[in-house]
Amino acid sequence: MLRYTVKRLLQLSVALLGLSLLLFAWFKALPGGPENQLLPENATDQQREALRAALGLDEPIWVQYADFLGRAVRLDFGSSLSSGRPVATELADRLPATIELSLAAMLIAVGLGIPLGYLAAKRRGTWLDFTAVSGSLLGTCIPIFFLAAMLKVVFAQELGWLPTTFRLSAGADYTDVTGLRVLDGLITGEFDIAWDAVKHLILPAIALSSIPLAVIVRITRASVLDVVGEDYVRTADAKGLKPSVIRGRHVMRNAMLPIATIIGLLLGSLFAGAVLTESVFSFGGIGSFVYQATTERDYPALMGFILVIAVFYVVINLLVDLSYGLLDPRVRVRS
Amino acid sequence: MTQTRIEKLDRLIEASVSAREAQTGSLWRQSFRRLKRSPMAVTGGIIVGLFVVVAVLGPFIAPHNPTAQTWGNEVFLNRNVFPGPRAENWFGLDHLGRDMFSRMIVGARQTLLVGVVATLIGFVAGAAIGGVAAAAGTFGGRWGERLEAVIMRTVDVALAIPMLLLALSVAALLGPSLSTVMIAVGVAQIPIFARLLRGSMLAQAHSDYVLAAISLGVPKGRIVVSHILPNSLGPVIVQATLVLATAIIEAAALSYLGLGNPDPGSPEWGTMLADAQRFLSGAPQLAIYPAVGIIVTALGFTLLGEAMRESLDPRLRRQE
Amino acid sequence: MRTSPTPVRRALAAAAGAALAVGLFTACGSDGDTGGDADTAEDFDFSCPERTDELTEDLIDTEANESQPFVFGTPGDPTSLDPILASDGETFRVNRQVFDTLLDADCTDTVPGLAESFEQNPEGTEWTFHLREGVTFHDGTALDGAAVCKNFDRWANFKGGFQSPNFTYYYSAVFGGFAENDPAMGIETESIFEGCTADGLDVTISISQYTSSFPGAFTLESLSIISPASIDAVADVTIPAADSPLPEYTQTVGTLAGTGPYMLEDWNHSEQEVTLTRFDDYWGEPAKVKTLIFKTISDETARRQALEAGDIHGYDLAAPADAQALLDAGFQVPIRGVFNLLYLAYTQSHAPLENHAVREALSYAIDRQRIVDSVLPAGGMVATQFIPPSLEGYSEDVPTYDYDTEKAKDMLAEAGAEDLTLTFCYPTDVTRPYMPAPKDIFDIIASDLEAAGVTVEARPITWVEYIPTTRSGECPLYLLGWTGDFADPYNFLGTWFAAPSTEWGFDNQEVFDSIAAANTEPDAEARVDLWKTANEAVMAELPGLPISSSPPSIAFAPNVYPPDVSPLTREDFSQVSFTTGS
Repeated sequence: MLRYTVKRLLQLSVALLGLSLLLFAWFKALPGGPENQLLPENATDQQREALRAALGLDEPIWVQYADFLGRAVRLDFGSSLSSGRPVATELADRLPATIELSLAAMLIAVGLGIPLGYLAAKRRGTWLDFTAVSGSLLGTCIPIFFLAAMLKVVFAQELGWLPTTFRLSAGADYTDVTGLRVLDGLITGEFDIAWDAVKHLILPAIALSSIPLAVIVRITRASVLDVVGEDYVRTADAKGLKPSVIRGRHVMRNAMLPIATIIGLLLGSLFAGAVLTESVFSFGGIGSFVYQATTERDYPALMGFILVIAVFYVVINLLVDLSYGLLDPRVRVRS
Repeated sequence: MTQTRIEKLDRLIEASVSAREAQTGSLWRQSFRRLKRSPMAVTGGIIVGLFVVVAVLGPFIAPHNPTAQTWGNEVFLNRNVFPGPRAENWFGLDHLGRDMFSRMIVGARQTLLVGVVATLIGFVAGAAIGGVAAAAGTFGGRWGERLEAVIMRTVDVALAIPMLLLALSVAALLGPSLSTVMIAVGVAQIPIFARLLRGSMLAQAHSDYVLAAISLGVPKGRIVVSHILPNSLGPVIVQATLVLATAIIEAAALSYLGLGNPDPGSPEWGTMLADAQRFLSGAPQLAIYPAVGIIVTALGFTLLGEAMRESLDPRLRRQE
Repeated sequence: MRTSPTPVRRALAAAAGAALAVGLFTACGSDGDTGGDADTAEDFDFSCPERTDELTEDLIDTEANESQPFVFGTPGDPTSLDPILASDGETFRVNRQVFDTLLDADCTDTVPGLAESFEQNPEGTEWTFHLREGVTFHDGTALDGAAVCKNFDRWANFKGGFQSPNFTYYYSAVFGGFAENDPAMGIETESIFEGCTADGLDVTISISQYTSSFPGAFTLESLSIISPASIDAVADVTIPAADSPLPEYTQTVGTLAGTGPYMLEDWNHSEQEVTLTRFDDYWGEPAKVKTLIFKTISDETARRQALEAGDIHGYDLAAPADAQALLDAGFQVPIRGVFNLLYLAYTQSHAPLENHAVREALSYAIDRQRIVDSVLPAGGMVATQFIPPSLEGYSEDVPTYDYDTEKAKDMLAEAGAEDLTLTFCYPTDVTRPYMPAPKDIFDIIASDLEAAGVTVEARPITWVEYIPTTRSGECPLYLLGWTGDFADPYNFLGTWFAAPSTEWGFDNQEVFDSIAAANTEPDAEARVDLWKTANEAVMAELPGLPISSSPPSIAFAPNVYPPDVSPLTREDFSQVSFTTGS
């Protein structure tokens, strides 16, 4: 096991190094120097030249790469072109919003997805099954930015039930503990803040949950079907155990393993959806930061984000692989 | 999504291997017969068929020139004046006074083109990488194994980056254009195809008929090219169908992020949808037409792909 | 209240023109000839539309003003709380409420700021300001001439990264350079700042060479005056390189003190919210609303929805369609004067654009009125020359080109350019205040040109590449524009037509000379005529087609009294009040 872990870690560091090289090459190859973002359109050529020279891009390329790598390891991704603040600070400031949104979306996806998937499996071949499956397929087919915008137009703009933007009403006097506003409100006893935050969360969370919900419904359905077909469930059935016992002790417990794995991994993947959702709702998390960075071609910000996300994913993947190894000896053997 | 994808890929590989190993020969035919009975496959097939017909015939059946601003003087986008459906313009006018119906019909072709080319790019490059990795791992000795490990771990890392971000990085590099969207979305699919083909080939490599061929002394290269590769393509084709749907949606998202096809000469649904977001509250129809087009088409490809996957998957089969 | 600026500007020009004349400031009083409805294009005042509503005592909702924050939605975050390090509108917007400049702008006129009046020598190289009495900084110190000089000396002696145009773009744009130019920052021009002397409340700023940037440059938000104690507090701060992050003191409140109607209370980066609170010892009319919040909502649709939902009380850069919908729904959308210019460039290095007749033909082919009517916000107008009408030197006698497709075809045929193919560049990923929808404008122009028989090859370019590409002369046709920084025609004409350039590709000494003559003329009255001549020379050359000037839209909730809107987007939020009933 230890050897396996070390081997995986080594392979991963090589892969990460490769990725950093790719990212650096990408950054170097990007069109348009930063001076074009930093200066107004009628700045003189001389001013542009001055800035280009001052940004010091005349070092040998390997020195630049080493510098880039050294800084990246220290989480120094340079400063954002649009705000002038260090990219790492910007990311850290906005992370809690995205975490809160992702958790809320996941709550919806899990809370609805597992029961739906289970029911679909139990009633396989019925209309309920068909609706759940095609509904979940439909969920993956709606462009998320369109879904988010429609939700906002209908429920916030036309019906006025929920707020349109932000995480809290402007000027709300909240106490920052964890950065998750709902949680903070509950911890400090400011229930009106918590409720305000919940209202602001609902629409973006629903939009963001569409894809994980679809995935969870289908995975749950497939896992339950798998487990139901296993011999031990048939045995239990034949033994005449009560259906509720079979469901609880045998079917769901075993079906949960793949579902739980998926949930952990989906949480990370929500970032991509958050880019689109947050921009629609001006949610002020990492997502809207990246959206802004993209539209303004704020490359240092983008690069910092991609690097952080890549490392995040790689670590999660590693942990998942390792836990598989621990749980299932066959994996170790196969590797 | 990563793990979902990986799991699905693995399952697909197993499915195709067991299909192959059953060696009944009629199994593919059997799968096809099962497909015909599946409502999912039939629905998906009809949608995809219709879409392809429109895409091919679009320019010939469109009632108006989709790019001519014929009714430009009737639209005032700064005052929310967008004439709706009428006898001459079935879907009304877009924000520059062009016929929306014609734009939808003609736009189908570009949309299909984006999906197909993106998928092809992902498929070809991914298959090459996966194929090299598998071949090296199987027949390349110790160094081959190392090469395979490095390739596959890099693919894993790439697979870990959200597809949209990967596409976004590529699009930022190439500047906005139609080919950028195709390349960006295509590149994002490379790791999927690479992993799929490599896994599929490895599974074939360890199957009995390959072992038999090796023991008979058939040259390794020939085994790879004439036995392993063709037999590994089944799951890849299924995946390609699913990727087509994703590609169409991703292309729309890229357009929304301002990295899409900016060429007004050729209407394309993703660009139209992204463009129309500006007018969502004043003229939602401008967004709804392309949105419905994209959703229905993506659903068609997804239904078809999922149905094909199920018909290949023995685990799902046996419960019937 | 708002009037046409012309008479006032003339008065100022005439006064300043006389040798050693005192700069007389007439408060922007009514000149009586712009009353009534402004429905038709002819009597609509494009420079500064007149304001019809008035805030009477009984309308003010004092209770709301004291208890409720006024929330204004901005398209982006500010960058720096140190005004000298700012060069973007969002930062200006915040700093304008907190800091004051020597001179201020009303409409596009230069009016008193911290200085009640000023005078210049005939050469325009010595500028003496008479400061107001009784002005206090937020930290309690009183404003005097020494405090002002301390600011100018600080700027002139910036070192290292502080000199980079990334941080101090406007200072070096106005003064050329620094006392000791840091070679690493690439600025090679010499500083024209010679020194600052103070005598009580009088300050004299000496420059080595007059340019028409003065006195307008003294209204620039970047050149806001901060307290001497603040300067001491940040004296040791350094910026090592041009791409260093902004210093920490610019990101948190509490270091810098200004003299404005509001004080900085908090900048919450994660909520993207800047909170200001009223400064009770403000030298002018104190702010009506106690708490003012600027909150970033980057998506324009989201800003509109937030206003409609009551989440915010006003926002800037409303999409033209949204502005109309908001107006219809009872919201307030006061129209700003125009102070920008969108143009289509004809790069003459590409044949046959060097042919004057071809350029004329293309100009006739384009329906600029349709762009103004259907794409641009209310208050937009077709441009006839390369400056907006609110500036001195705007000429009524330039050649104009009315939309006429047939004439365009004929002229092209005569010039032997019937089957003309032209590449047409436009930016893809931005909206600019002068160009709310680049692609729509491109589409309309392209379709007009096609109608005249020109084949247009679209070339979309991302914004980061757009400026260098068009500058290098690669694009035969391209869209670009500019929003003025302050009232100075050179700020428009000079950057484009002062010398031969690849972006225009023409060499017409008459044009260059006419601009140089106007720019260096310290006599204001003579300068107006010189600028007119320059505008006529430019339009005779026809280097490009001026398309439009259009104001960016700003919107407010029904229950507030909005500030006077400004063509320079210099809104003073201390005028804002919540109102009772309606």
